[in-house]
Amino acid sequence: MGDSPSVDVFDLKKIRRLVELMKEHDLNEMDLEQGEQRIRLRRAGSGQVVANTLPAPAVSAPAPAPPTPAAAAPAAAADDGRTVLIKSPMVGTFYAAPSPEAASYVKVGDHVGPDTTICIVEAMKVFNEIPAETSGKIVAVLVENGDPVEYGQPLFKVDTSV
Amino acid sequence: MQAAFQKATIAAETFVRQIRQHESVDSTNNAALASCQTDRPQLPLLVLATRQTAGRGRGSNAWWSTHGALTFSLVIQPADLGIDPHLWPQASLTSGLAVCCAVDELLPHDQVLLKWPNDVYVRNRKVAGVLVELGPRANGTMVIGIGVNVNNTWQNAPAELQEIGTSLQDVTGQSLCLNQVLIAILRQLERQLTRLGHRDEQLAADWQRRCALAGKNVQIVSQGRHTTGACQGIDADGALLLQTADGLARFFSGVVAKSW
Repeated sequence: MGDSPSVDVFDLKKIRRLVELMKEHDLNEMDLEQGEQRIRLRRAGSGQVVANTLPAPAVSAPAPAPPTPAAAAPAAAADDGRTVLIKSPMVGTFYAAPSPEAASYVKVGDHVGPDTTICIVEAMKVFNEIPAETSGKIVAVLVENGDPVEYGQPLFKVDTSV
Repeated sequence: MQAAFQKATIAAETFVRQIRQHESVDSTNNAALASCQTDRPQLPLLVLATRQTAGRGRGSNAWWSTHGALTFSLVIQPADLGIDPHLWPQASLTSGLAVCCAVDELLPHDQVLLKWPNDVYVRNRKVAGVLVELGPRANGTMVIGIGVNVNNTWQNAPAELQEIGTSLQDVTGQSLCLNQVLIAILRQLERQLTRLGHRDEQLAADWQRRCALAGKNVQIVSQGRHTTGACQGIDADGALLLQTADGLARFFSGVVAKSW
């Protein structure tokens, strides 16, 4: 099972990966929150990426409880109106596949419907299959198998126009 | 020892609305999950086994089960208790707490502790385990599987298990009524899960007070990575807190490999 220590969440490797994703999918802005940490990446016209990290809280600070009860998998509209972010409905460990040997539930390019299982988030041995709760095409997988995820953290980007 | 469950008493004294008893099943959780798939039982549904042949513990760590152990699964609709999806993992700890509270009544002179995330310990030995699984997503059910060593003395257990497990009979020196133990646990499950649904802030204090690992050095393993630290207990979200060389880390997943 994956661990979820709230340390090294915004390490260089991950920021680099986020920047790559932004370039890959031509995103102009990315705003992520995890516990008390937040990072906002903005891309200038030239493609340059500017990172604003809010004051780095002590890694030890326990994350506050979610402000509101979670829906099964809250999706949020991205800036362009055509895409939505599928966010984690709970804190835990992200699993892309039902077992280590199995294929991922979904990959970039796959079409999903509201009931399509897109991943598992596990915490305290409770394995929760997460539904897409939206229809469209997966255009980005924003976390890697085994990553710790926080409540509300974007997991997938879905183009709802196709 | 045969388990003579008194279904009418269980139904009258607990929040259970339907009971299914099997003589022998591989695992009560499997039987309960199958019930969720095939029909619409009245919930909470209690699935009992006189004998469980392949109880599933954590991973391959199968539950030591024999005659005299209490093995059952409870199917609930978490939404009915106000338990939203982000709280589902905490049902694991909460169910463990419920077993602790019920066992407390039977062992007033012993400390009954919760080993994160889902085991119950007495005298440094495991006396009960909890395994929470989710039913088909469409019906939003949750299966809480519980195994308690009641009258199955561990003197007959394999040698390597005697060091790590015990039973209520081994601790008290007398056999106990399975029906009474079951009712005590079911009543506590209703009480504690209701607290979770109501977001009772004292619930976290109860986990913390019961934490068997607090103050110990703990090695946790996950994704093949070992992390060692001094356990600071369990936080309000149910995470195990370890003070490591790199700071305080919160764990929502992982297996506690050892503690000392």
